[in-house]
Amino acid sequence: MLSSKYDVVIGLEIHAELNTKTKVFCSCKNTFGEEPNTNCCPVCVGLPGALPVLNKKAVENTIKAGLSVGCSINNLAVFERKNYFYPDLSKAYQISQLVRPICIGGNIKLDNGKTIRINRIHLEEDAGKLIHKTKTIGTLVDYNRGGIPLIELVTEPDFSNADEAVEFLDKLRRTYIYSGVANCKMEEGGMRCDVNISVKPHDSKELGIRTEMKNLNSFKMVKRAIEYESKRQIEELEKGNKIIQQTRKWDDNKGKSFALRSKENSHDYRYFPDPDLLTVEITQEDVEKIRSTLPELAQDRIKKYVEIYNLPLYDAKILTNEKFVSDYFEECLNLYNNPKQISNWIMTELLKVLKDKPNCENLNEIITKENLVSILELLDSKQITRPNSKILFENICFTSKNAKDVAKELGMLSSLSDEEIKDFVKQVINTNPDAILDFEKNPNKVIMFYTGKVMALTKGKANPITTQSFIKEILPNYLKK
Amino acid sequence: MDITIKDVEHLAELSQLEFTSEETQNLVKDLNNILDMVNQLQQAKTSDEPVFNKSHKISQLREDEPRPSLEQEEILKNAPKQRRGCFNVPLVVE
Repeated sequence: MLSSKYDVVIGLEIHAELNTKTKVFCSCKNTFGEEPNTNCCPVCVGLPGALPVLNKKAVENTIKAGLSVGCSINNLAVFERKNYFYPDLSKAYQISQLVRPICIGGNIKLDNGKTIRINRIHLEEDAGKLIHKTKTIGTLVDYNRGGIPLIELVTEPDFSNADEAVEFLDKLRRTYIYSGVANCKMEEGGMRCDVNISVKPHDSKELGIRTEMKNLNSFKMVKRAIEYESKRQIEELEKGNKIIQQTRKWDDNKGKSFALRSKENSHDYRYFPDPDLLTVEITQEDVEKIRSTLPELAQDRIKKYVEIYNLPLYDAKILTNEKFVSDYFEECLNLYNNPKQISNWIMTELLKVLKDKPNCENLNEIITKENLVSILELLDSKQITRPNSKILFENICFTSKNAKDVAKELGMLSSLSDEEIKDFVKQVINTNPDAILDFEKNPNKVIMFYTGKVMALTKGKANPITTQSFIKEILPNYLKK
Repeated sequence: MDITIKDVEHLAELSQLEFTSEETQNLVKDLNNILDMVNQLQQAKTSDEPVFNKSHKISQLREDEPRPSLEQEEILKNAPKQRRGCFNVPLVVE
């Protein structure tokens, strides 16, 4: 347990790769999973004399990202060179932004009412990918990722625990996906997080010395890393030791963080304006044009689902976790106004199927919205039974068949009128009169018994709920006799 | 602001370069000469407004349309060593 004598202070730096067709300073494709070094040109491998030319879409997406979290947009944005020697950057510098980033300010509100302030969002180029082998083989470098547009969001140190940090990341991820600026595929490194942590005694006004952990690429990792590191720092202070300002590497397998050699902690990036790039002028008109393209964001949808559709917050969050799931929910809702029923089916049946189809990004591929709505209509109008509705669903998944046709083919459609069901009820009571004797002791058992008999007699075509209500209506007449 | 031996040693370390003491001495001299030359600019009268280089309107930037990249073979031509389509460099672990 963390000692309550201390406050934990956390800030995040979150990188996300932008969703563009090309890289940020050249026209090479921005795609993942290609053969190594096939999306490369003189600009992105940094050959002498090659000139970077800024991608308009990358700037627009950065502005859009900023607007979606309430940032102000600088009217002039400048690119700087951040110099460091490491083979993931062939130029020995990264083009980034220091003094005038595209977006400044902004915030995201957490569910507990706390506001996390955003310091800035800037645009930069991603670095190449290193594959470290043995000492004899060395390191392999793939520059396909080098030059992919990357936005870095820096928060103020406003978090007090791991859960707040993870909630912020989750909200940010949804926001980026909904506004279409980034796909945030964490398993592909499309969203990465650096964590700054310090601890201070509860009554102290001054912040403690911080450490930084880089490149955490899952929410779980962020949570574990923060919990470990804050505990470690508190233990150090309790022992009377000082915290050393350093970059630490989080080893998720070992569940521990390790100090990197101090030599590599001496950052001296020698930033200066990149003479190859002009200052970017962003007019108020540009900003308003982009603002008008901002779609409804995940937070807005969650609010709408809870307040207007009366869904539980838990359901609303699951439905909005992926934009395409939420889009499908709304498409179905347009055809059939029963939010809770649609939501239940998506959450139980469709998401179960989706688990085995990681590449599916449109639920209509599993079952068209029309077919899902048909099943719900048949079910709600008691034309098919609940168990049959699940069988029907399984039968039409990934087919082009029509739900009503299949229900008919499988003989699921109840063709029985109320009068016919009543006749069946009377028939089963007459043929099994002994069961009535238990009614006073155990009425439910008796009702279920007769329901089962009717179902067997009609081969499942009688709706069990209708049948039960008729049994309840008719049985008392027999009891009086 | 004069460049000292210490500055050159620091820069050499950041750039992963090694110099003899004679080379270091020469670099101190050269770099100071360059700084002196550039310092002439400080004498120019400018306004108090921060100066940026000439601006480019967002509408004039490059359209997001892909163009062919170089062949892998072509890109790797300058690689000191290559392996499995990658540049192969001495082991560097952070």
